[in-house]
Amino acid sequence: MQLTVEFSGGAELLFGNVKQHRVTLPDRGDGDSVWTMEGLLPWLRDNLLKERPELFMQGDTVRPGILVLVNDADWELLGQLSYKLQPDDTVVFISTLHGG
Amino acid sequence: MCSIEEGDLADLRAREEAQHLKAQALSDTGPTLCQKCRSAPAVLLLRVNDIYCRDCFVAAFTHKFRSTLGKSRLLRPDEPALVAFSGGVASSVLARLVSDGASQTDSKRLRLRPGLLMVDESAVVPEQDVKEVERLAGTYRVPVYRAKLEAVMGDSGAPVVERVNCKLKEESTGDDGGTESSQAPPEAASCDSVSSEAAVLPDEARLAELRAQLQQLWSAAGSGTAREQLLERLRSELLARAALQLGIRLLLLADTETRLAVSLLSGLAGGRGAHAHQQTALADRRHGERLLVLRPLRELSSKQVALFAHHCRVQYVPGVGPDTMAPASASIGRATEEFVLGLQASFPATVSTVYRTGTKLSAVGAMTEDCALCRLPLDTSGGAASALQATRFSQMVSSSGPDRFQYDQHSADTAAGHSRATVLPPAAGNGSCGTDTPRCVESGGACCGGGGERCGSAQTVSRKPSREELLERLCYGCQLVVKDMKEVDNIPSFVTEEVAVRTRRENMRKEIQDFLIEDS
Ligand SMILES: [Zn+2]
Ligand SMILES: [Zn+2]
Repeated sequence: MQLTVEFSGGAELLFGNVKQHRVTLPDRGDGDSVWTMEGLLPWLRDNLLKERPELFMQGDTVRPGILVLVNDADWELLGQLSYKLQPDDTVVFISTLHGG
Repeated sequence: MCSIEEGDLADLRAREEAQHLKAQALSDTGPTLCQKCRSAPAVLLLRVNDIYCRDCFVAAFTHKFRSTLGKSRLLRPDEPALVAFSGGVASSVLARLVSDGASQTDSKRLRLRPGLLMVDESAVVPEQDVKEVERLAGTYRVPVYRAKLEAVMGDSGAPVVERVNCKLKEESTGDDGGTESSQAPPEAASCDSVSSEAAVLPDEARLAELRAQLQQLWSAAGSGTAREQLLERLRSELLARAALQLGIRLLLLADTETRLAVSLLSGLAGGRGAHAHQQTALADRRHGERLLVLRPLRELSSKQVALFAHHCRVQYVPGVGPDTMAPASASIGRATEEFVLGLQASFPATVSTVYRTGTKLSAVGAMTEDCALCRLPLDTSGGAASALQATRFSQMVSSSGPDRFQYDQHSADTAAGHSRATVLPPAAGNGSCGTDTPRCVESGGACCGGGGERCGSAQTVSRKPSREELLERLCYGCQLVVKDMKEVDNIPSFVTEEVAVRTRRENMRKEIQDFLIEDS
């Protein structure tokens, strides 16, 4: 499944200073191709993140102060971690941290 | 009833409602609708019960900014205003709101003539992309001014700010199509009115000297916290001085509610409790009638600001500073931010509660003198038996040892109520001016500060104040910053000038004390 992932507000600094990424998520085993935000976050951390994972994630979710939008809508309206990603979704991470 | 309780109840009710709405939103099969227009799909969840579509959010956001600004009731129609512009998200959003508002042609036009003032902090923040900030500032079609941080180190009368662009006139008349006949385009008008005054440029060679001095001061500052606070103090002093030089009375800062909540708490942790109110107030009056500093984003959270930037495509450079990418342990400010945002994630009312509490705080007791560094009321003259005096006293005793310590009864009785102790200098150097005021002994034999007063010693030209003299003129929070410093040789002259003036005044007062009639 293909997605567009964007980082801004300083979050891009953790991802090689690249703001927009086109990513292809692999099918998971057992023919299960469903990806949720809960699965996407660690995948991004392990595959796209260049440094300082603790500045991106805290526990199993994003670090406080990082906003997440899916197709411009606040992920809090979409069930956050449980949101099921659709092909060609655009996921945006915006850091609101002063120092990040 | 007390407004706090009512507010909290309303908050609670709103939160319950929000939970309900959220649950509804998640269970519905169709898209959630905006709570405001009930026609467009919602894209934003703000605070507690605000579920908005993009357009309603942008309208509500703009309205909040306008009403906050209007609340001050201090604006004069069509007066020039400077936006402190760092290129960061909040100041970029503020620049957008102000410049868009001012260029509206209908009755809703924001009656200000905006300009942007950027601070070049590259002397101490090498990561700052000055060129990019300048480029972004240029996109707002308003006059842009630049001040270098090092300029603040110079004499307080010296020019600090210069004009960066002035090519807006043709551009703006072209775009506006000349529809307006009675009113000149705001940007063109302000361009004319201030450009002549801004023509004086700070001298380059002098700036290089000051830059070196600033860098030494910076490296003398011991901790991340001290640097963070020092930068904040110097920046606000520079902004104020630049506005005064340009003859502009209004200075707009882009402090968000989140930012203010964090700085309120880190301020408390940093010993600035007495200034909590001034630090979160809409209008900052520390510079008197000549300068009004406003914070029109103070009722908007950093989340709202970031979302506005996202939905309105406001370009900005991500925040860089001495603490960029730094761990939470780098400074009290960073640690507090981490703490507040962490709480906010689980308790969405955290930031607004902290912020609203801050606006209700005020210092008890009259503070007559201002701090020489931050210009907020001096909170260090609380009675002789205060906790602060106890801290000072024990520090004095333990740092000076038995032979050099002598408690000075005389100065403890002074009207200011300072309990002051005197450290005797080792052997000679006792009073070149020959008076027996404790001050002369305190400053290690140097004379009382010059300026043509009675004592007539040779050392009349601006002697640098000692660390002790300096500390005495600083508020508790600023004392902590200076105490952390390895040396105080590079303290900016606006501070040392002030210290010298006050010290001189106090010495004079002491000399004539016996002839004064005190009102008790
Ligand atoms: Zn709507
Ligand atoms: Zn101070």
